[in-house]
Amino acid sequence: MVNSRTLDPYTGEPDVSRLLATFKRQPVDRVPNFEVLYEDQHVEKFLGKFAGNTLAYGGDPAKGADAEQGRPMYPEEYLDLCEMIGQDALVFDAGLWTPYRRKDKEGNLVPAYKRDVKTRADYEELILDSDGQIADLKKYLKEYKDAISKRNSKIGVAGLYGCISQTLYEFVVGMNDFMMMVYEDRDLVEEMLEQSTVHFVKTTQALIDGGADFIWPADDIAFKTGLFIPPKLMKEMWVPRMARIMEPAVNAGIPVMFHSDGKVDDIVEDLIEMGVDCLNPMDPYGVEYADYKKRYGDRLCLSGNVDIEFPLSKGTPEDVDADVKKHMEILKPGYGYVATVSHSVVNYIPHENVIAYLNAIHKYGKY
Amino acid sequence: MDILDNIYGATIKGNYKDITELVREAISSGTAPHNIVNEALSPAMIEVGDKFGAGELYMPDMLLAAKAMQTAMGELRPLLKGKEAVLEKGTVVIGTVKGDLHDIGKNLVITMAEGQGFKIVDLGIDVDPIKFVDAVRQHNPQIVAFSGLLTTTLANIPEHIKALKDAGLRNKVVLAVGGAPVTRDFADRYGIEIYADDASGAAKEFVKAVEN
Repeated sequence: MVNSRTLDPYTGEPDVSRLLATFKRQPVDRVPNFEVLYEDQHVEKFLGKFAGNTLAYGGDPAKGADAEQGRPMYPEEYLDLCEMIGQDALVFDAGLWTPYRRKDKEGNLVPAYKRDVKTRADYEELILDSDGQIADLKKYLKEYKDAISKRNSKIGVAGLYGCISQTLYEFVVGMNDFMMMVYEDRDLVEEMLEQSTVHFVKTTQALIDGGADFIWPADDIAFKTGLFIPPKLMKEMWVPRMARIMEPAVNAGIPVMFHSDGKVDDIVEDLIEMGVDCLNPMDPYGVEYADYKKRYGDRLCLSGNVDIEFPLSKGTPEDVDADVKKHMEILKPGYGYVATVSHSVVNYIPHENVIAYLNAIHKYGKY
Repeated sequence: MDILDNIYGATIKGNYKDITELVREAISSGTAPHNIVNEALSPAMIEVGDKFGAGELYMPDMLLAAKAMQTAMGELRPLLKGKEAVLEKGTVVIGTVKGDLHDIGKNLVITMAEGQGFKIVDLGIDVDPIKFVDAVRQHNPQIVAFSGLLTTTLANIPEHIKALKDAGLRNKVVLAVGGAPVTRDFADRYGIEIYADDASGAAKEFVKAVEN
């Protein structure tokens, strides 16, 4: 019988050095559990009070939350949550989306996320609020670092950011037009990517200067059959830019986790070469995790793959336990495995399954 | 290489800039408009879809091929007036279900289905069940397609189906469902006739559905 009512005790206090050692595939006491996002209902059930979503207090703009609403979760509650569930680091939205703005009729800067940029002229009307976004991230990073220090905690902090292409196809240009633009007006696409890259290089530096323990650049560049655009073009247009975004961290010895949904096979070697330490989330609809362990396990820490569809939302606690166990059997040996779900701990996952999931990680993840 | 081969090739390559001239050349050389559709444009889109599904072509290729086909169809449509059956295999009402904002998959299905000659009524994202009902009443589609990426919103599907039943429309349409977490079991569970793994497969299933 799987315990899905209460959190079982776990080994070793939350400590970012566990996560960082895992990124480098070094020995640790247990497989770390680490999620990009616990949605608010789960947070409330754990803490016994409303405290918002962990990544961004108001929710994910890609799911409809107001893009301007996002301040990170308040640090005290987030630390409480991490201590409860054994998570080694806080993660906040340090600028997932390139901060394109335009002026409204009153002259206020508003997000330019209406998928209406179709030409160079449209693009040239946009304003990049780079300083504004970076000022916010510095503020929140300091807030988190101060809270961690005040509590004398070993929990760390990372920033999630950097969607140089997803901002464009999801919010600014629109998917179909952006994809055609890649072929038809490559110069414009390169300019847009370049502008984002310059901004996110500054973001990386700001995170390093502010004491982030690792960085987490993200950009959804694939779906279940493969990359959105041909690998050759990705290697010319995207790889060098994402490498530049990571470079300050790689040079400073700060570990790098990278996120993209989908089947990313064609780009993994490039990610390794640019200095990625940990690959997330090994989308179960595109990636065969046993294959990834075999091919990359000696060079890359792997994170993710436990499917939020099944077992997490549609399965029983026993299904969840069995699936975590199966993942551990393949991914745990040799270290370099971070237990993460395939997307995020969304509200529609039954809370009992979240408890079963965490208990299973702590049960099967001991070395 | 005959003119139909040239049109086929232009479609595969997404050469929407030259396809109008090729279509006009075909027409003036006596090629019947419906032959251009059935022997060049549609088969080309099938090949594009198959290659996309196999990972040999990518989104820009597919979208430009679709644009080439749409450009060609713009030239052919007036010539096929009165013979719309050639152009349109049927009508598909499609939307991302209530609560879901994802549309990549839906848009891919639209591209492939249009390539197969379906008229598409795109309801967009986060679509209420009643909007599907209204669209069915207005457009008399053969197929209603639900798209979704979130498990929780796919769980709203029964509500969408019930709305069609309550309106007396369920038996007038064939239902389809797709999205990353969707499975054949999911479709069977709710009595949904069409499920496909990818956009190309969906378009083929649509063709089978209207031909049966």
